[in-house]
Order: sequence, then C-alpha cells, then structure tokens
Amino acid sequence: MATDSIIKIKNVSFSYPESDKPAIDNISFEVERGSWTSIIGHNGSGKSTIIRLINGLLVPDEKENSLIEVDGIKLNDDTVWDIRDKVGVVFQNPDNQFVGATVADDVAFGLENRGVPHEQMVKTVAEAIKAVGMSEYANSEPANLSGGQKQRVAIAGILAIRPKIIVLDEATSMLDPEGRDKILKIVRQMKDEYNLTVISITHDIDEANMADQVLVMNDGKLITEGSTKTVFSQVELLKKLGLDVPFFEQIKAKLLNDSMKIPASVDSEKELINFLCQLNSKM
Amino acid sequence: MPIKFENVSYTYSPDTPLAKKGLDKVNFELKDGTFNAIIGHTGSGKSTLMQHFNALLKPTNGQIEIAGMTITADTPNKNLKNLRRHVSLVFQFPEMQLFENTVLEDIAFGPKNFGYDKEKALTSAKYWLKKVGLPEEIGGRSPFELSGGQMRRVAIAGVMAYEPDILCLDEPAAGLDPLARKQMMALFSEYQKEGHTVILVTHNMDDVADYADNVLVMEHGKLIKEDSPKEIFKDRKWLQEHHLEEPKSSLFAAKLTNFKFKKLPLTIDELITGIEKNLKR
Repeated sequence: MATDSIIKIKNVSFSYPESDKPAIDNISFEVERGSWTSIIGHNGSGKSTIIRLINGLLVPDEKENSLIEVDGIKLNDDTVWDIRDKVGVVFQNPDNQFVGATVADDVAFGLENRGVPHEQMVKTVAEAIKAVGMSEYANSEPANLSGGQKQRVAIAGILAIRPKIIVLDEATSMLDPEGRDKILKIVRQMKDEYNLTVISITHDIDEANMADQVLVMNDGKLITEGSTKTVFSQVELLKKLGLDVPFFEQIKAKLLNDSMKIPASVDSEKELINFLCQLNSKM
Repeated sequence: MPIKFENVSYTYSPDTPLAKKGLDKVNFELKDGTFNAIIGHTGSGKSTLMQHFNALLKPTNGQIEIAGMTITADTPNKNLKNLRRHVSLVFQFPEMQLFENTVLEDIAFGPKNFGYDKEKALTSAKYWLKKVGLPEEIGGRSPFELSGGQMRRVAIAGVMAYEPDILCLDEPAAGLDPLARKQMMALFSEYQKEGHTVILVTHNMDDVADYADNVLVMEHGKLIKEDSPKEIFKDRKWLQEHHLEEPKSSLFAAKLTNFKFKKLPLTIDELITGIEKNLKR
C-alpha cells in the first residue's frame, strides 16, 4: 500500500442511531500524502459519512482493532481538534457555509476561531483570497457572488487555515461547467503548491477521473478501489451500482457488445479514437 | 394554448443607480406538450426568464400569454393563484422548501392548497411518492430524516401532485447520483408525453440532446437562438463562441477525423450506429 499514508482507516464501522443497518460497514483503506482520491457511490452509499468519521464529527462504532489515523495522529477525544485543523471540507451548497458579511470576513472566520493575531490574519486572508482569484471581491457581500465564486471563497477560507487535506464533498455539483472547471483547476494548483492531499466525493465522472485513486462505495461497503483505469474499466459493476462510467468506456462496451474486436490495451479515450480511426482507414 | 412571450424585458431595481437588465426584448412561442430546454451561462437570464412563467416576476415591458392569462407589468397579484395552479416552478434545492411533519403531508400540501379535498390530496400524494421512486414506508417519516436525494424527490413529488399543465424545472437533477438523475429525467419526459409542457433549465447538454424538442439559448438577458437540439448543436463554431458545451456524443464524433457522419450524432446510440456504418463500407 501507500508508502507515506496521511490517512489510515482500519476496520471502521458506523451505525446511525435507530438504524439496523450500518452506514459504514467494516471499511479499511489508506490515502497517500499528496495524492488525489475520488470516492464515488450513489446517494446514501456512505461517502459523506466517511468524511464525517475522518474529522471526528461522527464517532465510529466501538470495535477492537478499529483505527482512524490522520497525519500520524490517532483520532480520539483528545486529538479531534488537532485533526480538524488538518482536514478542510468544502460542501455542496455554497450558501450553507457562509458566516462573514464580506468575502474577507468570511475567509478570516477560521483564523479568528483559532485566535490568530490580527496582523498575521490580514496577511493570510489576503493571500488565500488571491490564491483563488477573488482579490477584487474581497469586500463584496458573499450573497452577491455566483455559485462558482462562492465555492472559491469557501476554498479560500479553508486554505487560510493551512490544512493538510482538503475534501470536496460534491463541491462542484451545483456549478455550471465553466465554474466547475475553474474550481478544479484552482484545487489542483493548490494541491501542487502546498502538497495538499485531495479527497473528492463526486458524481461527476470527469472529476473522478482526475484522481490517482478511486474508492467505490455501495451500501456502506467499500466495493472496489484502485487507479482510475482499473476501476472505470469495470463497466458492468459500475452500471450495476447505478454509477456513471467514462464516456469512452460506454462506447467501447457498446461496440464490444456488437461484436467488434477491440484489444484490451485500448484503455483511454485517445487510444479508442486512434484505434477506430486506424480501423476506418483500413476499410 | 401556446406560451407566448412578446417583447418581454425585465429590469431589476428600475430607476435606481443599481438598475440592471435581466431580460431584454425576449420573443418566443412554446407549443403545448413540448419539452423545452433553456441553456446559457450563469447570469445569462435563465432564472429570470423562468420566474416569468408563473409571474413571480412580471415583465417591465412587453407581455406574456400563458395558461389563458395575459401578464403585463400592470397585472395585479390578485388572480395569480389560478395561474400558479397551472404553471409550477421547481427551484434549485427544492428540498429546502420542505416543512411538513411527514413526507405524505408535505406532498399533499400543494394539492390541498389548490382545492383538492383531504382524501384526494392524500391519494395523489401516495401516487406521486411511488412515481418519484420512493418506497411507500417513508410516507410517514419526517422529510428531514431523509437523504438529500430522497428529499429532492419528495419536493418534486409535491409539485407534480397537483399535475400542473406547465412544469418549470431549474436544474432539478443537479447533485443527484447518475441513476437518480436518469430516473428523474425519465419521469419528466413521461410527464411531457402524457400531454404536459415541460420547461427545463440545465447545463447538461446530454439531457438537452436526449429529451428536448426545442432549445432556448440565453445570453446577457437576450434570447440569442431558438431551435431544435439538432440545429443548435450543428454549428460547433457558434457554440464555442458562446462558451456552450456540446453533447458528449457529438464531441466524440468530431474527434473521429476520418469518419463521415451523415447526420451529427447527438446521443450515444446515434454515435454507435454512425461508427458502425462507417466501418461497414
């Protein structure tokens, strides 16, 4: 497994009170430092619950050998606040996460909470807002921004507290295609610049495809994991789980189904296009 | 009766320094029982346009004919309830508007409000609960105990339960998982085929290609194009100039440089057929 794991989850289960079925059912996985992990699965499969367990918003069922470790610290009552400093979450609906009257106030909120001296705070806030390309809106009211701009402010608020891990919990699902692309580009830049670890929970297949590692959840269980190529080539499994597959995999599956012969080595859109064009020129 | 927009303009905060044009001389006619998609950037006027369909906003200039009424700047609010019984609007995040104690009561609220008796409202609520793909047993639960996707379905069932003739939806499937999205879109399509008019604001061009009869393209408050998906997606250069995406199938087809497609494939099945035709020569 990962050589330098920033997150270690071992044998973790979680049941909501009054529910007879666990929401998370004996899950183990690791996330490598500085990597990008996508978690996919249908609504209610347990994706968001995992995040709430990692930052201690939920407490796992009592179990021997169960472990949640973030950046070398084992999660328990004493360490939960240290761990929350390391994990920043951007949620789906930007309107639900604003507290400040201006963009700058909002970004400063996390720092104020942590008692950062004013002088340093002003500097950090300005840097974070600049990093997401929102400097000219520093004194604007968040309510007047577009959805994509709001999410950029939410990301700035997280960057300001310098987390090690940034979680996108369907953070781009309400944005238009351009807004989404911009957010993902910014997150990628931030990841490279600060060696952040990114976890993205998403239904968007293109966003999931940006990952180094994909985890597939269903009914609280981790069904499969691996690189994008390994996971997304399992077209039948993903379809059975009600999930999307990359577009070229859909085409490939349909052509194979119509008894066209396509070598297994064709495992990207580019290769499929090359293969089809070559085939066509031979005709 | 078709929906008719004649020279409709809307100005936010008119006669103030903050005055801003939301709609600018918009003209179109939507036929009964059609599936219409409204596309365009964030801020292009899509949502402003939507809010005119049931007179949440009234035109600053021009007039709208819809569901037997004529709406102008001077239309009083008094008679709008009847309009809203025929034209309903589902906003983004409709789940935020749930409020009743149980799921069934929440769905039955709309029908009751529009004059169904209690029993009939409940029957309708039960029918639509099933229709949106939710199990019967959650009918008695609090809507606030449900998952986000389930709450969305309850909210949509609540609007469909009084069967408006014209159903306007603002990104109804955003944030749903792929299967739920497909189920929702199939539900709206079925509703249209039963004889209702559907108007959908969306960024998803595959949904436009799969379901729409007619597409309205908005930009800076103006209607810049209205046509069938086939015609809208035909002009790649025009789409790029206006920062609009294409359906995945036509994009893929464009990359198959030595293939000839008689007609531009807009759906995956059209694409597969087109590819196979090329290879069969």
